[in-house]
Amino acid sequence: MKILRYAIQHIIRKPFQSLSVVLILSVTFLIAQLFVVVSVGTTKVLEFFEQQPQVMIFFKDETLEDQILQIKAELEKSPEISDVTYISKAQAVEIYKDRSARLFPDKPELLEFVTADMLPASLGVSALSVNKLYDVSAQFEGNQFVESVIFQEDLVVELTRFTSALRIGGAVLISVLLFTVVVLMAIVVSNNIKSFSSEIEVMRLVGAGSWYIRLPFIIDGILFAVIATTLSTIGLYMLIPTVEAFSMNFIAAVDLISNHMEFVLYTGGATVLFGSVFTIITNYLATWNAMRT
Amino acid sequence: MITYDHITKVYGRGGVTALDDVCLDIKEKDFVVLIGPSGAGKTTLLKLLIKEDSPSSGSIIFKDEDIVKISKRNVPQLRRNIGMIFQDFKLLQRQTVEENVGFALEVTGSQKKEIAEVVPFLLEKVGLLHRLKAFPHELSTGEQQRVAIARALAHEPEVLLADEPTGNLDRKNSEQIVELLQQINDWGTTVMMATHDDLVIKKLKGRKVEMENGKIVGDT
Repeated sequence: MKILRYAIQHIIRKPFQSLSVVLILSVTFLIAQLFVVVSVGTTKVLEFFEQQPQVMIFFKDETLEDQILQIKAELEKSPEISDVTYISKAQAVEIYKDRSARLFPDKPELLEFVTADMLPASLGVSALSVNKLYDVSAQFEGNQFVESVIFQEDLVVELTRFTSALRIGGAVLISVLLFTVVVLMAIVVSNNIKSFSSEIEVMRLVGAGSWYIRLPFIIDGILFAVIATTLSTIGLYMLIPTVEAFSMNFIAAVDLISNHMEFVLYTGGATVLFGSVFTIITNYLATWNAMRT
Repeated sequence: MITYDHITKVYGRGGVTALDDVCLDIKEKDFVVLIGPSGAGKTTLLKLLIKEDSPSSGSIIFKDEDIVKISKRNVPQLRRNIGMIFQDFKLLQRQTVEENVGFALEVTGSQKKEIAEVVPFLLEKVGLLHRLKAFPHELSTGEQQRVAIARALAHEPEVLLADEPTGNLDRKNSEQIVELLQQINDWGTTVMMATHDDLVIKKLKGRKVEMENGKIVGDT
């Protein structure tokens, strides 16, 4: 309890210094947590597209259902084709209405004017290899019955590249911020040790152990980490709906985070753990360095 | 009890020789006064005993152990056996007299109940029980030094080191402090005191070790 009291004294004696550390730590942790959200989200998006039929063939309005089903049967004969899914015009309308009602419940006008004539029938083709998909895509480009062919592999490749770049960029940004935190905390610890130099001198003279002297400065770091992660986790909880709403504009079909509270609690808990370990190590090294001089 | 065996201390490369092959034996319950001008090596001799610094060569035997060789981890335990007071008192200005003395017990793990019993006992010994709640800036210099002495006695040390304890005191307070130190010695504590104050030296009974330029030049 005495050691905790000393740690709290360090924080109270220099309130602006303590505030600056908490703010920078909070921002760093919040960015790290948002990075986790983005990573989870992009992974889910990638998985979604990887599970979708990888070539979509959209047929012209005048193409008869029998003709489409014949094409389907031909494709299914190939051993390299793993699945062919037929979506009729009526089914396409139902899918559209269902998604619109779910995503835009306050815009019923989106459903009013949509009829089966407006949406094309389609075949979704999945294959065992990318090369086969290239063949299928090439086979139906320009076909007399086909309106358009969408090859989702391109999309998946681009998305993978984008996700990798995002993760690398995020990791670099967070590393820079963490390094800033390390430097800042070293300065803070050094200042605190100078500020308490008379107490430390007396402690050494009367036979206090080195851990008794160092521990309050290390506990400072834990207190900062706990306060900062609490603030960042509250910020995360408030920002998640905004992030989700933003992503809906692009990937409405993917539910990024199914249970907000659970996600926030797990992320917050992991951040507290990481933050505490990080600040313990940082402050231990800073204290060791400051006290040996 | 304490043996300085061929102790030499040189600061810097080819720099100042603070102690030059010093040999000194101190028995239990001795009152040893180190006298000499500034720079004679008196303070260095005291600092080496509490491992505030290390000698360039030689050994220091304290209670059958060569403290030159003890590890950093064991230094706090050594210092609990040796009390020390200074010319500038080294009191914590933001704490009361009671808290200053109790601090020495607090940092070594004593319980509140024990501290509450020991602190008044120590302050009574130094004649300051009535000033328990005062802050250092409210005390005279003599009273501040007595608080420092009470704190130094908190762990019942076998040795009390005093580095120019009367340096900031007037004659009357100096005499009182010297009397108190002699009283502490009478209670059984070995005392080593460094001073260049002639008036104090004249008043003191006990062994006088004279130092000059890092050497012992007299021992009476």
